[in-house]
Amino acid sequence: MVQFGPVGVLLLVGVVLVVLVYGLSAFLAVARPVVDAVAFGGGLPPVEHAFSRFHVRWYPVTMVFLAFDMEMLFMYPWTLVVTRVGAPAVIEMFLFLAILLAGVAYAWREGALRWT
Amino acid sequence: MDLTGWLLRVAARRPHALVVAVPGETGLRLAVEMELGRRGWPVADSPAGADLLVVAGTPGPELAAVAETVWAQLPAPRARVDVAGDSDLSRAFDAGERELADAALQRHVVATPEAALPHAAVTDHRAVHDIAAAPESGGAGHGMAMEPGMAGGHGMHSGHGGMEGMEMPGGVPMADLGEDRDGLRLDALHVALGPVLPDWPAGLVLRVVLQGDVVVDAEAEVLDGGAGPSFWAEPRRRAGAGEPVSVGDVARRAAARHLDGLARFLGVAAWTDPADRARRWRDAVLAGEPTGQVGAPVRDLITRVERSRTLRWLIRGVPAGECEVAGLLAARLAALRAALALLDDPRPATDVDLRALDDAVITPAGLAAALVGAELAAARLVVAALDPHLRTPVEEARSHGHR
Amino acid sequence: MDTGDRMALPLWWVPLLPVLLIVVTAGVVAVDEAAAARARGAREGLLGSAVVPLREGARLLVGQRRRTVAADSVLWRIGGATLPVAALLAAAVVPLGSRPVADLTDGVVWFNAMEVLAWAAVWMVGWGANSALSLVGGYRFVAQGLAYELPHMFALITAALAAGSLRVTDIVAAQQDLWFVVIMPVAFVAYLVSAVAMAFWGPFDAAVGRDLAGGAAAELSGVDRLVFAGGRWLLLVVAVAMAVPLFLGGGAGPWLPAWGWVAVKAGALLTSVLWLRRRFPTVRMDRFTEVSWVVLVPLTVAQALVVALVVLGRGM
Repeated sequence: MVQFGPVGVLLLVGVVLVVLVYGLSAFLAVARPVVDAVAFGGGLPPVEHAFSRFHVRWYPVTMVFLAFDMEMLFMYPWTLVVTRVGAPAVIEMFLFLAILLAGVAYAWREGALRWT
Repeated sequence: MDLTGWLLRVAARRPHALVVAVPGETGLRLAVEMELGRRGWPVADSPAGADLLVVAGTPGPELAAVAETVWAQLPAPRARVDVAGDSDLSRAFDAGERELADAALQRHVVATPEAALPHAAVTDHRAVHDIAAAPESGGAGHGMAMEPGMAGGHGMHSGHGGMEGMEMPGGVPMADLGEDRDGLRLDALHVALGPVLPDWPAGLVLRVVLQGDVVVDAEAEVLDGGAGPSFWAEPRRRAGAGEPVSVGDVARRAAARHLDGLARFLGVAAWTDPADRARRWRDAVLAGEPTGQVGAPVRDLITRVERSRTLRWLIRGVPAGECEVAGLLAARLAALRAALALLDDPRPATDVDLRALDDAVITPAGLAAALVGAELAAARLVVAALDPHLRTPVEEARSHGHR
Repeated sequence: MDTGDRMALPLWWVPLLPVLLIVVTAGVVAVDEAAAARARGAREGLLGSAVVPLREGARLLVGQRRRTVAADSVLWRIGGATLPVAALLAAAVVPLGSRPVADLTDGVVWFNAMEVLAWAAVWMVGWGANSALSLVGGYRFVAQGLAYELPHMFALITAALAAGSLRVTDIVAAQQDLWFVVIMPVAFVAYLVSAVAMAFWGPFDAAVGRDLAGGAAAELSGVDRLVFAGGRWLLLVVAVAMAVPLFLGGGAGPWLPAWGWVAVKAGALLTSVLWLRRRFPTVRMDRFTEVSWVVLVPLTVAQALVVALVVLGRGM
C-alpha cells in the first residue's frame, strides 16, 4: 500500500486546490451568487423542470458495453501472465473476445448501434 | 488594494458577447459580428458564459421581453449594449468595455432588484397554457393517471395541471408522461428553443416536446409577427421599385447571403475553421471587394466543404422536410457558385432571371413539420441548413407580387 | 515482481505537479487561441494570445456564480470539481521525464480508473443544472463514453501486454529498443482518438456543443465554469501526454534530458490534437458509436492479438 502514499497526498492537494480556488472566488467575486437563476433554453423561461426520465435510446449499447467491461477485469491481470502461461492464455482470451465480438456483430445487425 | 477591480479591468479587455439578433435587422447583426471579430471578443453560447449582451436592432415587444430575461440570466460582471441602425458600434462597444471594468458599477448593478429572478416570467401562465394546448403525440392525454408501478419512484410526477396539486420549486411543473415511438410511456419535456441560440434564425422560437433528445412534436413561431423585409433581398426590392440595379448588385448580396448561411450551418456543425473563413469572405463580399480578390478563396472554400468526407458522413440521411440536409447544403453551395460568377455583371437586374440565386423559403409551420422525429442535434442541423428568413403570410403575398 | 515505489519522484514533487500541469495547460490554451485568432484573420500577436488564459482565469474568478431554479447543487458542483482532481490523479503515474510522481505497480489501471471519472463528472454537471439543454449535453457524453471507452481500454492493455507489466515505468523501459508505436500503430491512433473523446475535445465535443448553447456547461458561470473548463483542459493535456510513455518511448532520445524529450513529444501530440480539432466538424455521438463498435473495437482487438503473438514469439 505504501506506493499509494504519493497518490493519497496528491488527492489531498487536488481537493485543497479546488477548495482554495472556490475560496479565492468567494473573496474576489464581484457579487454574491445568484440563486434561482432561470435555466436557459434560448431566452424564454422554462415551462417544466428539466429533471425527467431521459429516453436513453442507446440502452442496448450499454448492455453490450457491460459485457466487454466485465471482460476487461480479466484482461488487465491477463497481460501480466501471458509470457508465463504462453499460448493457452492467448488462445483463451481471444476466443473469449471473439465470442463477444460475435455479439457486437449481432447487435449491429439488429440496429442497436444506430439509434436515430 | 482593490484586487477585484484590477481583475475586472484585466478581464474586461476580452469579454464574451451574447448577441440577440432582431428579425429583419440582419445588417446590424453582421456589423456586430464583424466588430466582435475585429476586437477578438469571443461569442458566448449562453448567458451564463457571457459578460456582454448585445441587442442588434430595435426589438419588438416580445423580443424585448426575451432580451430582458436573457439580461437577467447574465452573471456579473455584465454590460448591455443596444445598437440601432445609426449607432456608432465602436463607441458602443467601448462603453460596454468600460462598464465591465467599472468595479463600483458592477457591484451596484447586481445589487438592484431587477437582477433577481423574474418570478413573473417563470410562472407566465400564457406560456404554460400555450404549451399545454399543444397537440400531444400519440394517444396519451394530459393529466393522465400514473401507472401504479411508477408512483413510488416518481412521486414528483404530478400531471400537467400539477399547479393545483403539489407546489413545485419555482412554480414550474415536472414533465408529464407521453407515448413514445416504441409504444412506451416516457417523460415528454416541453422546451422552448430560441430565439437567442448560437447561429439561430433571428426571432425564431421552436416549442418542442422532447423525449430524451428526440423531438416528438414541434411548433414554430416568429416573435413579433415575423421579420420585416429581408436584408438579403434589398437590391431585388430596389430593382422592383424601378431603381437602376445591376445583376452584380443582386449577385453580390446573394453571395453574401449564402456565405452567411454556410457560416451558420458550419457553426452549428462546429466546423470552426471554414465557418470562420465563410464569415470573413461574407464580410469581404459585402464590403464590395473585387471579384479577383474574393472569387478564388470562396471557390476553394466551397470545394473544401463539398469534399469533406466527415461532413458528408455526419449529415448523411438527415431528413429535412421533403429533402435532406445534404441536399440543402448542396443547393446553397450551388447558388453561391452561381452568384460568384455574376459579381461583376453590369446588366440591369430586371432583364435577367436570377432565381437560381434565391434561397429556399419556408413557413414556420413547414419548418416545425420538418423537425418532428429528429434527434436534437439533427434538428439543429436542419434549422441551420434551411436558415430561413421567416415571413408572415402578408409579407409573403406582397413579395410575390413584386416578382 | 516488486511492489515498492522504486521509480517515484520524491514526495515534494506532489505539490509541484498541479503547478506544472496548470502552467503547461495555460500554454496549450494560449497556442489554441493563437490558432483561432489566425483562422479569424485577426492579428492578435503572440503576446495577445499568451495572456488569454490569464484574462479568462481573471474573468471567471471574479465572475458571479449562479444557481438555477431547483438545481441539484450537490451533483452539479461535485461533478465540476471531479474533472480537475481526476486529471491530477491520473497525471500521478505519467513519468515527467523518467520518473512519475507515483510509480504504481498497476499504474495503467489507475490511470484508466481516474479518466473514467470524467464520464460521471460530465453527466453530473449536465444533470445538476436542471436545464433542458444541459441535460441533453450530459446524456450525450454518456452515449459517447460507450463508444470511446472500449478502444481506449484495448489500447492501454495492448501497451501493457507488450511490456508484460501494468507499471508505466516498465512500459517505458520495454521500449528501449523499439517504440511501441511501431508495433502497435492502430492502438496508438485509437488511444489518441479516445483520449480526445474522453476530454470531450473537438471533434468529439458534442456534449458541450454549440448547438446546445454549451450543453453540459451551459449554465456554469464564475468559478464553477473555471473549474469545469480548466478540468477539461487538464484532462486533455494529461490524457494526450500519457501517449508518450505508452507508445513513444517516454523520455528516450538523444541530446536532450528525459524531461526534455517528454516535453517535446507531448507538445507535438498536443499541437496536432489542437490542429485536428479545427479540421473536423463535431462528430455526432450516434455516428461515432457505430464506427467505434464496428471499426475501432475489432481493430484494437486485432491489434492486441498481433501484439500477443509478438510477445509469445519473443518468449520462445
